Amino acid sequence: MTRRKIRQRAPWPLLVLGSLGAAVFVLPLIGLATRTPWSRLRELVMSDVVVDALKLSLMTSVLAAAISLLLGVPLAWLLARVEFPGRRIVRAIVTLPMVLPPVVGGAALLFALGRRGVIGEPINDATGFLLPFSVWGVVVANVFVAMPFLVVTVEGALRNVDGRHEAAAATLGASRLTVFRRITLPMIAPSVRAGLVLAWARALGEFGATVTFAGNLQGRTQTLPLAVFVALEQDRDTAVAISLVLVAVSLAVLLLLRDRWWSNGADL
Amino acid sequence: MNGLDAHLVVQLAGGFYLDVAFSIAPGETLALLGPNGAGKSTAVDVLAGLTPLDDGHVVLNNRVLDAPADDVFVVAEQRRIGVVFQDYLLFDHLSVLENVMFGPLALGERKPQARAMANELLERLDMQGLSSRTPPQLSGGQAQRVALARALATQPDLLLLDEALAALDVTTRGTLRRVLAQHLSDFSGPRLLITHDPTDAFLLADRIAIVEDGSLSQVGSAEDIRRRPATPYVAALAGTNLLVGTNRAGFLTLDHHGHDLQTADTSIDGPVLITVHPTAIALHRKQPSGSPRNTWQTRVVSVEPLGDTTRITLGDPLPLGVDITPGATAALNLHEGAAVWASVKATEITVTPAAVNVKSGRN
Amino acid sequence: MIRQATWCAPLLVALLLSSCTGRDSDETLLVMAAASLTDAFGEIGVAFEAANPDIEVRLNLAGSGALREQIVQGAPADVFASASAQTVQALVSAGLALSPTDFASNELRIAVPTGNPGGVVGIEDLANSELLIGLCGAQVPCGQFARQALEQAGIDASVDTNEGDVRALLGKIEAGELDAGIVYASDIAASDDVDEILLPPTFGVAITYPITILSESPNPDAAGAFVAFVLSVEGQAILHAYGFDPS
Repeated sequence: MTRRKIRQRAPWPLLVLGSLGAAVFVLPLIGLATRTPWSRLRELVMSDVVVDALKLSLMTSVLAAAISLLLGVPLAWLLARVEFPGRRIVRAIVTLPMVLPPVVGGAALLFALGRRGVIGEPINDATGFLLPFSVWGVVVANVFVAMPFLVVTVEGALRNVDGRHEAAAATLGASRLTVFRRITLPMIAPSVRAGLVLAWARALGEFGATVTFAGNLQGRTQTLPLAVFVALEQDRDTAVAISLVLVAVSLAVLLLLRDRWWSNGADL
Repeated sequence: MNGLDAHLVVQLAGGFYLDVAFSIAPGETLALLGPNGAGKSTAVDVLAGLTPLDDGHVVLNNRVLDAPADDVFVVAEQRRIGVVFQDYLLFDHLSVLENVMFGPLALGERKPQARAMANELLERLDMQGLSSRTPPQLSGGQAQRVALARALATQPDLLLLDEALAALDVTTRGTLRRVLAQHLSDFSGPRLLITHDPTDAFLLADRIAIVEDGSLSQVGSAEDIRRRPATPYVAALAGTNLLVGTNRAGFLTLDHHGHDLQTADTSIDGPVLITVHPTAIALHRKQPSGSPRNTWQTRVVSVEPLGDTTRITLGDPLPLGVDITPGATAALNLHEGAAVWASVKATEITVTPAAVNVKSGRN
Repeated sequence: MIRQATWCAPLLVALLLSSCTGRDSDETLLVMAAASLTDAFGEIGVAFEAANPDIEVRLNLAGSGALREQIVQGAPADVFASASAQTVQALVSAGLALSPTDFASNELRIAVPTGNPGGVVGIEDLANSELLIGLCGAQVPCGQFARQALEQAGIDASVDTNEGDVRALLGKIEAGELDAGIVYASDIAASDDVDEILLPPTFGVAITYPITILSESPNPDAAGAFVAFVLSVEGQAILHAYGFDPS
């Protein structure tokens, strides 16, 4: 027996405006598809430049998401739970990369962590380690732009957690760290996952901070977005092919994760 | 001294203070009884260490847990106070067994020992079959037992029950009251029962402390409180006539009194708690018409003016409290020893299922 | 002007901001110029506006390749000043530009941060993998010229980054993040924070800058006036001051 469904008619103003909203996202995809050299696609996508960029992009974006998780969740906890002087300023600074042009972020990273940077210079002098123009530079640039998405999502979730459960755990003898690990974290797990996906997606698409801070070299720092940018001025078919790869990878991951992770109650 | 010695002073929202002092001996159950908003939940928070005191002290088994004057404050996780919260606050992402194991593990117990301990407690509470379920799959009564098991698993120095029965439906409440009574007596430390329900207080506590507007208006045994209510609120609370008996299709046989009553509620058969509100009983000089079963002749034992009302206490066959206006008292010429007729409508007699082993004889 | 003002307020600010700046100009000329021309054309624009008060010049500065792409996609531009004859030729063949005139020439130099911390002596040092070397990407003229020069010198450069345009490359050399890079002489002339190393003339690459009026120009007369100004004595003097040679 099939359950009868009541057909809901959407009010027309919502339908019209909502459809326009969707069109903003669908139309560029159609544009991309119409320009795609479908017959040469395989050959273009299998080229060295594209394969190198895809590998690098996947590796750096996953790494950046992992680092964002490791550092971002504790940061979100501090921002949500600990009253410290200047907390509002720290929160504003943490979310700044969401507003700032990524190029500005990249330049700022260079001033801090570059070879002549405030921290970069002593590190380089002592160890010879250098972030710019290296894979780690790409990862750092990605973390810089991506982590705020995780922090904002997780902090919001932490503020919504009913503190009584944590209090109950404390009366049972659990230390604050145990409470965080065994009670708080499982309670906000859906939001942590959502924040992780957002951060990963942002890292995958990152361009400005990467090109400014990490430079652009095939196989080392040239991620998919950088490869698209270079190819746009050189060979449009390649540019379109790379864009298509980027769209396909992102869409596949977002669809997969959204169904599995976001549908049950992440408060985004 | 062993046991709990508490003097709680906390500034409450709305500008008034909670200022109550009480002590509980090991093996004793004290009920903190009061209306909602009287500061009872604040008392839970300060005892458990979730909110600091503004003044006063909490001393448990000679261990100072909170004393602002001496700048002492022991955090919740080091207090060894087991709390059964009003809404249980079970951890939904853990199984029943893991919920009960949580405390022992947090206190450094090894996993096998913690599991054994949790299993034993769940078995004692008749919950062993449900240990792999998660809290959302439990009924209210089952969740309450898990909350109790979880609190007991830490082997606390004080057991704190915050409105432990309030969230349950009437039928479950009766059963759980029995379970609670049994486990309270199994627990050897001091026990504090926080409630707004006089029935719970009268049936489960050795002593009752009544909180009104942030301070204690009366402390004593159920008997003291019933006999000499200190305020109208206590009078109203204490006056709630509570009888124990058996219901058979609306026909009530009382355990301790030689008179039967008729109730309109035929839904519950078997042992019941019977409550009759003091304003629901009417007094007459002459025999009134109506159902003979709910009409009886008796004598006035005492007449106590309590502001707007007068509390009349009746003697055998049913020792009930009756609240009437001073005007009616005068009109009926009621005085100690006066012969009167009492009557109550069958619809005014409410019954709730009673468990067999409740402390009886308190009415 | 009154009519314009009443339109400005209620309409989408972002779209009309450019026409609402309150400047009393009748025509707005959009000049697409290669990134290496940034400073020189900034001054030329100001001088041209002083000579032609009814024309407002807006500059769109980017790598020549990016500019070409924008023109192909229909940007409403009037003039294109490129760092590469090739990019302009492609537009001419596509019927998007009129025939170009060379207005300046330039040459390649090696730029190093002030004080030359990497100890770069000549073009052969660009093969040193110990040093951080940057070039312009192969998609822009400065990158193509640099690769030609390296090829003629028989050097396999150890490149650490391919920057999107010459200004981005120069910026990283100025900041000391790179030890050396190949840029235009004009860029070095415009910077206080780099030293230059000359390339032997043998490896020199003839670099000429063509300027052209675009076929779809909305203001062909003003565009013609601008091109004439660039080629005039005054325009050439400004270009020379910024390190460009006459063509």
